[in-house]
Amino acid sequence: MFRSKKLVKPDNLHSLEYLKYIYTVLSKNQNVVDTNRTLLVESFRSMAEILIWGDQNSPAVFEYFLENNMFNYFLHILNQKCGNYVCVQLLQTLNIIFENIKNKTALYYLLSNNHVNSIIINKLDFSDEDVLAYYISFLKTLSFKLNLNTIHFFYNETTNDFPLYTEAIKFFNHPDSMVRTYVRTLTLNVYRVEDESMLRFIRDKTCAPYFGNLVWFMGKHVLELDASARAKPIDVDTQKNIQDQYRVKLADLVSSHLDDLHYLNDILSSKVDMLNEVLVDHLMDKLFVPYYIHSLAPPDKYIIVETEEFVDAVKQQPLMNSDICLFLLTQVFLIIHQTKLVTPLAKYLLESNFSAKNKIAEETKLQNEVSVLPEKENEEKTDIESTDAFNLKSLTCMNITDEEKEILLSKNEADCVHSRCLESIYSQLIIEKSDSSALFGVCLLYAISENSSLSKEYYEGFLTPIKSENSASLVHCDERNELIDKLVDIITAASEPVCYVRSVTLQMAITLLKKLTIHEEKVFISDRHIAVILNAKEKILPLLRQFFKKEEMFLELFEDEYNEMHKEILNVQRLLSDSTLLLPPAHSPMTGIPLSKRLPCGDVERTRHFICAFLNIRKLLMTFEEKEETQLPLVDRTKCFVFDTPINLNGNDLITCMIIAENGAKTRRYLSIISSQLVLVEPHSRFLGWGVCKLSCYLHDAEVTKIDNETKTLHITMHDTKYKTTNTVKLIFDDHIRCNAARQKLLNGRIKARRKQLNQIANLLEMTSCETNYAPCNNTLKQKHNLRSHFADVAVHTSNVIMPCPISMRSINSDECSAESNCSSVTHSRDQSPCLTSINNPECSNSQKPSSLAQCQEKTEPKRKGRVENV
Amino acid sequence: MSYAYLFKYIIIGDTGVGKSCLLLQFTDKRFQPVHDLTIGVEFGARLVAIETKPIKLQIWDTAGQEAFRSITRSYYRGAAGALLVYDITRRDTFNHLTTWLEDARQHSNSNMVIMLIGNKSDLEAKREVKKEEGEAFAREHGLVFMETSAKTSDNVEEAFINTAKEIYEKIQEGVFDINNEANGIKIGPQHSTGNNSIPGGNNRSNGNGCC
Repeated sequence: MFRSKKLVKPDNLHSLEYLKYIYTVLSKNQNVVDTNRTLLVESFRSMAEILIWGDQNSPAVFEYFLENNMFNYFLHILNQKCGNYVCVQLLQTLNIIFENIKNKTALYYLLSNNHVNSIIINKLDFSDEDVLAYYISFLKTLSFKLNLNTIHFFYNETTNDFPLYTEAIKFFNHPDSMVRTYVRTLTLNVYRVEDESMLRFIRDKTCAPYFGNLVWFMGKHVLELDASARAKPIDVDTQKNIQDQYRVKLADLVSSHLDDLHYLNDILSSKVDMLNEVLVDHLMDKLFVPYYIHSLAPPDKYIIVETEEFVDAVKQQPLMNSDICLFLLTQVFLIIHQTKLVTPLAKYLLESNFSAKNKIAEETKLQNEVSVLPEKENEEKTDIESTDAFNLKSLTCMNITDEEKEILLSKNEADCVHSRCLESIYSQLIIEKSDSSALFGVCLLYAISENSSLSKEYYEGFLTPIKSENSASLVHCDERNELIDKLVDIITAASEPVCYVRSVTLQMAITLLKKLTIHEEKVFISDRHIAVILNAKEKILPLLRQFFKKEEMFLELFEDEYNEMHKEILNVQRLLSDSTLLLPPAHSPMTGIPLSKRLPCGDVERTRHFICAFLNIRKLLMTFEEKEETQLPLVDRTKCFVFDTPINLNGNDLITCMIIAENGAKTRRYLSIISSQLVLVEPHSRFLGWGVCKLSCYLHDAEVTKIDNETKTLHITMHDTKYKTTNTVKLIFDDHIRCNAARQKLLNGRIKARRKQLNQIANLLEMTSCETNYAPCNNTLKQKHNLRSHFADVAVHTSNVIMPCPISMRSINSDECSAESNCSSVTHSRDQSPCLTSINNPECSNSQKPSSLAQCQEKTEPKRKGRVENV
Repeated sequence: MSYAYLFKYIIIGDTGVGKSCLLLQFTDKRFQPVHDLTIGVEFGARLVAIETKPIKLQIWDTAGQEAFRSITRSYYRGAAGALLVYDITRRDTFNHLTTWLEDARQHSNSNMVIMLIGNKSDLEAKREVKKEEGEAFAREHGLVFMETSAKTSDNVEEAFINTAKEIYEKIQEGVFDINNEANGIKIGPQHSTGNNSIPGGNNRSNGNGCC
């Protein structure tokens, strides 16, 4: 320290002089002691800054750095036990240098002396999370510098050494997720470098442990996932705390499994065949076949018994819950789009000869992929080929293409026995108590058919519509028909009054069914199946009719479900990233699971549930029958008047009003009702009798409220049913008469519009007119409804009571005297007979039946007049 | 070095908005960005104090993630906080915010705290995005908003610390599952020792936290 103080520290940090100063400091402090730590850290820190400045501004700086071999000091200091404080700064400086350096010569020089590799293999104190984080960042930075020119600085062909990679993968399973992510980034960067000898090194020396471990841990996580999904509390809805814990853990396991699959897909996408083959082998042999395939279709005798955990796994049968197995397999097909992996897996699942009892070799043209098969098959192959030849002869006389021949062959070989996996999947499609397995089964088949990297031949005619009559009878026909049977059964089950099919399951079944049966707008489905679906729809109808009569919110629920259905297309990948699906279907909305993914709770939700089912099945039938939609939506909101459209107002009533903006500014507008819409217009500048639309809204979306103290003001709340937003405008009328007139016009219009819509729904539900007479007449307010429904209900309710008012208003205007006398007499009589009013009141407020309307009219009319008179 | 909690951050946003500068400015104030010197950096850590509790912030850079989908997912999932940065002098960086936010929301855990940062507030003359626009965007998407300058270090400290405060509050509320390391939160090695106070967040030259 004493000597360093004698040095003159240059003022300007960004200068060659400063670097020279650092050089002197470093050369005088080659041994790290307690007293010089801070000085060293400071020097290294400044060095990074000067070097980058030099790289961008003054070449002399770097030249000085290189000439004096200052890099050696890094190593020299690292090699001492310099303490983590110095070590961390050193790593950060290195990091900054390699990250930012643009001068290639300088970079190559820095890399050339094997210094970097020495730093990499230096045993640092990785128990310090900072050291590890900076170290792994440094490795990641270096990996971004890898290319064909720089690879030999890191990979030494003669010594067969690649420390950057081998050291990094030691941390592949580190508990810190960011460290793991950095390691993965590094590996992917390495695989991208197309240097054959390096890749060969990776395959020969590191693949077995690295990929082996990767797959082993995936398997471990899969079993954990299985265990935690199975170890669920019996009553899912009540034990909220426990359930939350399960959900968090499950969500976490699912997420990391998806991470793994995406990582695999990224590796496979790098198209390094050499590595991919090994990886695919590992995956098939250690994960997919033993865990997934064997869980679906347990083999009779075990051929491969390699590792301990496998033996363990064999003991408990089936290995995994088939729900989870299907769920995980679906993920594979959704995420991985690499033929090499997807093809063998699909073959196991779909082709009979892969998992059949009598092991039969593959089709000849697929022989190049035998590596995935147990070795035993290779021996058998010779026998099989002779039978192949025999079969081929018999087929030559038939007029079909080569490809079909082969598929046909494979089918014959299997003695028409279905793939056992497929059989197992089919058995899962049958809905008994829970629809979970059916949902995942449908998703899996859907994912297979959607996977772009899987050649169509594996499921042609099975998961696709049969196009020509000719091949139809030959390939996969039974499987296809059976599948359609199963899907149609799901639809039937969804129509049962006892709900156990969730909306999402029904939607997936319908999506898959469409995929199986519709090709280029042509429909390939038997009449028998259509009849079954029709039956299902017929079964839902009486249920809905009941709800229609009982449920006063039916219209709102119906519209809402319709909008939900058309809001977004079901995205299977997003759907299946939801780990809550793995729990048994919930009932309670308290779980936070949306209704479509759980079973309904209470009448309102049941109504929604069946409306949704009805709409979906109805739409499917219409597609099959190639019918155009004519009845829905109930109101085409796109036909609402657009801002600034000119409207012919001749023959329409107009009420003058002021619209009040948020800041209190008033604008004059005219209110009118045109084709069930509330329209606020301003006069057209050129055409007489025309107006320009400034605001419009369908009457059934508008709620009118009157504020108690403000007789001339109305608040109109407009609901946007599609985006679920509301917009409130405040209108002031010239006087309270106009205000009331406007209010009643709006309320009446709203009732009419709602009636019309309810009639439309009644038509959809094929109700007779006498049935609809009773349409939502039950006005008792139910507490269970949410605020909005309550609100809407009140609006309907009040509007009915004062419906006849416009007539009375007119009478006031024409003959005030009679009104006056009339009024006083009535108020008088009302005062005298309280019992009469008490009878009238509940009837008026509780009933909308036409019979009681007359009474309401009697009562409300004088009341109105009385109020008018007072003013 | 002991701390009560460790929070992991990521910084996201278009290239050139000054993500690295923010990181360096926060973790190592001594870097004075002169001569338009831009220094990229991958990682930084620093100790700060929130309600007298020592909290360690680790900021992980996400550079180079674009090529790999799996990596993007993992980054987002492993972070407790994210700084979403745009450049107030470049409108396009502001326009891309929606995409960044969608990505973040899709991949991250739902509790991740996102702070919107309008960087380069020192370049008032070149401003293309008004402060009000940033505020409106933040309000609309439920983010905390701040304009910073990595160059003058204006608000940089606050941006990181306010994010940490919000995460800390969420922990107090029990929103975050602190035992689950996947959320980007870790409990310190000696959590129980409350006396182990650190003298504020500004003594980096003293402690061995380094940059």
